[in-house]
Amino acid sequence: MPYVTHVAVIDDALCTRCPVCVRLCPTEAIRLEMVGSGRFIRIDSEKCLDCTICMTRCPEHAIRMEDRDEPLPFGVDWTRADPAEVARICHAAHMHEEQIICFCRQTQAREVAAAILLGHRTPESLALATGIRTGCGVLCITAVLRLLKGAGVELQKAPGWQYYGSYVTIWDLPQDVRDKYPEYYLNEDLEAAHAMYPSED
Amino acid sequence: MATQTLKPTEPRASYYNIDPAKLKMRAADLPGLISVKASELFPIDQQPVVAATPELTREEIRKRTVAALAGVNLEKIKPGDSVNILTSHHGYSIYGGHAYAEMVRTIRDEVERRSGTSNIRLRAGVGLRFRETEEYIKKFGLDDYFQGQAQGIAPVDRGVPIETPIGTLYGIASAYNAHWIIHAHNNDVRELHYHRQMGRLFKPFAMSYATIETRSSYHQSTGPRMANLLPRLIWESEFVQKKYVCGCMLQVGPEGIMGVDANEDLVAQDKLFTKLNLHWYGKILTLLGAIDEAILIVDYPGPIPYTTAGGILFGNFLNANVDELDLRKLTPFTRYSDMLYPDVKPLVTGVLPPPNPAIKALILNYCSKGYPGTFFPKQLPVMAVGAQAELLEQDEQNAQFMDYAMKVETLPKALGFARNFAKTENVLVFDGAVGGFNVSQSMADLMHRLAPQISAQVDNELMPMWLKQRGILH
Repeated sequence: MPYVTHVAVIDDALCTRCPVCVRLCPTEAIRLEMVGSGRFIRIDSEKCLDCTICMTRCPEHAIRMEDRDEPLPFGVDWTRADPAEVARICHAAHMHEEQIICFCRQTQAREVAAAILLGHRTPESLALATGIRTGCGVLCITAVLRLLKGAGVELQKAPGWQYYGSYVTIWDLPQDVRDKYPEYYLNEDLEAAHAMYPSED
Repeated sequence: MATQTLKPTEPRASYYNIDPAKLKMRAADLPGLISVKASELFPIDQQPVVAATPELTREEIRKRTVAALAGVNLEKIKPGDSVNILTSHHGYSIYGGHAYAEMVRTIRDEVERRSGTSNIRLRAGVGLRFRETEEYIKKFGLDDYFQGQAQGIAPVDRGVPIETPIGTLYGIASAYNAHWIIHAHNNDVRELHYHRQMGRLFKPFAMSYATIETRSSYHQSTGPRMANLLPRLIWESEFVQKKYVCGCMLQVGPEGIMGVDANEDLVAQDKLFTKLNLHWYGKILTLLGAIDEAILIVDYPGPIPYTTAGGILFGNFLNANVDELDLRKLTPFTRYSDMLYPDVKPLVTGVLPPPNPAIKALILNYCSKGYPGTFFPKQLPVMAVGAQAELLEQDEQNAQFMDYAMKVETLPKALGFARNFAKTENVLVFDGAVGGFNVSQSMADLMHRLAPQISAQVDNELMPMWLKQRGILH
């Protein structure tokens, strides 16, 4: 089971409650709370998976990473879900079950597919369960959105900032674009994609 | 062939690097290393911008930037209009970054002088290290220069929709929150495995100026070649075109800074630099592919694949067993191949070539964290030296990196061990050396021996093919 050994800690004296960190946290570990008549940023240490995104975007440098007293484990045992359903979701998203979709955490497609089947149905919930999106926070968002779509989950409302729910895949390109830009090897890459990745049928 | 090594890039105090005091030895100081100049291997007919002092170099860059912008209509910017000068992290690291920083300062001054507006902002985009350009803004004093209007921007920031023929893509809102934008970039060949020299100048529109879904679409959900259509379509969008003033490019080559170019038409500008890059880098890249065995040492304050020397990268060597300029071919390392290696063996065989088998060992003496790179120690024998190993152990973007790599206490011990198991004396260093490479004697001999035949092969066979594939007349 993977684990993290650091946790984000906020310095209330520096924090202006702006609240950039609340918007950027991939696991929704950070919230703005009213305490008496004052507003404060609070970080739930049980939900912080050490991505450091809040720390590196805080305009006031008010967040630091500290060692945890005990490592925090996370992750999903994909064998807890129906393997046939896991495979179906992965293939619908044009992914192999074992395919790496988060390069930072080395998360595999089947872990996220299983997490969806076990009830995690938003990118934030999937991040907390599997650790996906808790490294760079950039490269794997479309993989998450494709798997959710493959599982038939419709996002109620994309929050903005982290993702907007709009992306492009090679399987969805309009023919007129393929015809207009042959110098970008669209047809050749589609052929390569068919050779490299599975499909639902 | 010089008996002295070339000067490596200075260590950088940064969140993403070890404390410079912990860097015990540079590869250039290893006994027996010498240097090979790019110009000895493949002379070109254009001289780099070289002045006697850094101050004079900056003066020369300023002069050339003013001259390049003279051909651009800056007068359409009216007094009081807002202008965002869009920049990217890599520019601030090219050959120390001073030339790029001076080009950016000069763009600001020329816009103000010729348009009458003072509402000029710097926007500095990043790769995956969100504080990086904030560090550069501080280093080069750009916040003061831009009168408090310099800002590091990141792909997790608020987005702005950009309509394209393939759907809605998203730019970073603060990159585009001005009447006008100026695309201040460079032609460095850099991550050829991604851009393939097909629209290289467009790439920031889907990368350092874009939010996460667009960047993820580029790297994971489209294709290793066609991904380069995304930045082109963003640039062609009505949203961008109505703001676009020009591209201003720092020209670089294997021998150093070559000049500055400005153009209102990015398609034409990209074609010009495609041709130049094929001529400036094609032979050295092909030479890398002819080296049959090597121990590589990374010793540069950048992420592993972007560590550089003589204008080319470790990433170029990683893919050098395939002609990356031949667009018919897929390259060994992109995120599309990375996805297919859950462990040492790929999920699919027969489609993607393996990483360059000439790399017998990779020694990480000094490099940045903040780039997902577990692919490298999974596929290559990797040793990390001393404090560098500790940095990678704590890298939030490389949770399993050190599960595969080995920690060695000192650089000489790592090299000794590498020589022992790799059974080669060929050593090549990526340490930021300008105009050439720090190498072992045997590697220098090999490069000199190979250069004439590579030169002929490129001139007679490869260059006509590369140009033809890109619609450029020979």
